[in-house]
Amino acid sequence: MFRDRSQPPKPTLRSASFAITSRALVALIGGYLSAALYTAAMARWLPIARVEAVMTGMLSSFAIYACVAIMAFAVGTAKRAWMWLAVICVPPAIALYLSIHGVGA
Amino acid sequence: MKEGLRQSMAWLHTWVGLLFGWLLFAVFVTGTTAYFQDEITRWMQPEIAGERNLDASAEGALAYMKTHAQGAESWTIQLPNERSVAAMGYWKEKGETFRQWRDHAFMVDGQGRKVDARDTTGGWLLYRLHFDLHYVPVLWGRWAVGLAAMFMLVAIVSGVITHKKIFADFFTMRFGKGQRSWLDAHNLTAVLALPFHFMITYTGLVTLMSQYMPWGIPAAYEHPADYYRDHLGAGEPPKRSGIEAPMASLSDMIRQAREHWQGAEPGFIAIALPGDAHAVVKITQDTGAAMGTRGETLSFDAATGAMRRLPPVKGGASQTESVMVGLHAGRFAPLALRWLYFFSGVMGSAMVATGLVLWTAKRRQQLPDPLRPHVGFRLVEKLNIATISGLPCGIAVYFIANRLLPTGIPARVAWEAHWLFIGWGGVMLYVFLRPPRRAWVEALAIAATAFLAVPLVDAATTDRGMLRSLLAGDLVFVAFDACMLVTAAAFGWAAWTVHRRPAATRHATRRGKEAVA
Amino acid sequence: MVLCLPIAIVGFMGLCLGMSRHQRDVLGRVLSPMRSALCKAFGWTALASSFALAIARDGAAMGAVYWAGMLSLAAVLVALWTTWFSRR
Repeated sequence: MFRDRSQPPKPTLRSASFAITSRALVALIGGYLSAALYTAAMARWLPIARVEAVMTGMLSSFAIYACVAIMAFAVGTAKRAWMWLAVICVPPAIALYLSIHGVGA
Repeated sequence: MKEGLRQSMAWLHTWVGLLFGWLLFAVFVTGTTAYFQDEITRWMQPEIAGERNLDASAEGALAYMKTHAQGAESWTIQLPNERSVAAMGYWKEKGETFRQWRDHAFMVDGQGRKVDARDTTGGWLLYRLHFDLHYVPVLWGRWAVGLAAMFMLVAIVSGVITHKKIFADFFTMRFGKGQRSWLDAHNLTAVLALPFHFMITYTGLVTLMSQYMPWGIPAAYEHPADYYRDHLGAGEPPKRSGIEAPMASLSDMIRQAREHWQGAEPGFIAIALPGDAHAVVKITQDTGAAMGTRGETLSFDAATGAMRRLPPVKGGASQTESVMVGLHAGRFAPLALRWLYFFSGVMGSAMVATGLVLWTAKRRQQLPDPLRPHVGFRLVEKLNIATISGLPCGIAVYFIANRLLPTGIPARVAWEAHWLFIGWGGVMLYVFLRPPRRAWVEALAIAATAFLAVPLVDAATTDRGMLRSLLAGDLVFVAFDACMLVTAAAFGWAAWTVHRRPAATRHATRRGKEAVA
Repeated sequence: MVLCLPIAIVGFMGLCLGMSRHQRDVLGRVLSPMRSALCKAFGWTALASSFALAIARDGAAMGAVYWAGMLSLAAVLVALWTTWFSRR
């Protein structure tokens, strides 16, 4: 998952701070968003009692948040961080959509 | 590949640590004191002595409210746990919110008598500071602490990835080597208590997860109240019938609860609509009963004393949550384990503090002119000093204020808390006026003096000073005073060490020059 | 608890003496690889037995919590112990 940028071209100060801000957004906002999506998806899809499913989602959400935040700074470029964020968020988003508008629920 | 990852993780660890470090230090320190919350409260109410007696204090509190709070909306009794003596009762009049409970609060000792103790929030203030902060709306405080905790988790993971030689450096602590020593101390306090740090951070987030990550609730429930009903088994609040009815024996309901819990003690009794035919008594298990205890509540019809429907049985996830919250707060912990919790908390505080100092130690050498650092560096250095010695100093001042503020002055509770921040703020102001190295020495010395003063002021103003408590075998008071002295000694030692250090540096430089010559 | 902590301390001492860096500080010489391995094996055995002892006394859940806290304390004590040697 983590690819190295072997000796990147020397970044200017502005592009460096832009990249950091961009990654920080992925970590802070993206991390929360993906955790919330997984939590909500688990609450609807887990085949256990409703209260237990909600609880399971909440309990695991912080691990998801932490992983996404680490990912945001571990991958080679800020652009890649956004791509990974999308990859992470799509499955629970689809699951939620299906459960609300389509099959299930 | 490995080096690239390690570098970016080191960067992340450094800046996340710096950004949240000061807040995390406050959270760790106050959280650590909260493991002895009940003992601190006892020390802060020297008027209350004797042994606890659950049933007597419950009946005493009930009797007091029967005469003084007829027609109130609710009566509440917080029973003493194994580590405390007095029960606290309070009631809520119609139209009041629960925030106003302090207006009608009173203490009852183990013999069922109301005692007039000084008005204080005791160890509870430090416990609430730990996650609510102060002077800010509770919800904001919790979001701030939650964000810090979330990124503490990130800092732990990135720190572990960064730390190249976890096992090779496992026992390594080299003193007197500047930046190297700070790194050793940071690694040591982090790695040796790593299970605790990880546990405490994750479970801390779990304690407030329905605020931080509530999105599963609206996803699965149409009405959030239904979730809380499933989760806590809370039924509808009773409606007033208007018919008066005397209450059945509370002692008997307590007995039924004990029987149902196989001997576990109650910790909390709430009576809704006391005196009414529809009144309900709720008895909640003492949270210290077991690791996974979390609000196990039994309901009784007040008029008949009969137990109502039983709360739902917890499923796997709910049980996990209960155990996580239990592990975090450590309320179940017997004394020896409680001290281990306290020790781990001290390690956590030291980890954050050494990490903060490390940030400056690492950069000092790289400064273009170490005598004139740039603004950012100076700010970080001053904030480090002001937080690491200022906050503990504020806590000592809080304890002193408890002894010196006259009883009966208006808003005494609020002023005790204000003094904590006056103490902290005073140190901060002082630190910003002094050159950094002197600021370190002097701020640490001020903190040492403040902690030294606590047992002295106690001995001067109460009849429960350290010597007398020792003779009376009152171990809670002795231990509290001893902790103050140990803390004073630790700060004093730190001040002395920093004080001696500049000479050593000059010495080294001279030796270096001689070597060159 | 009474017995658990000393056993854990001895266990960490064993692990510590299994590392050449600390052998120099504590013993003043480096042990042979064979002896180092023995020290380590002894250390791990002692740590495992302190765990077993904690579990036997307090049950799996409580024992594990005790053991984790105690392990930190024991490790810090051993770290300070080696530091004391290296400072002399």
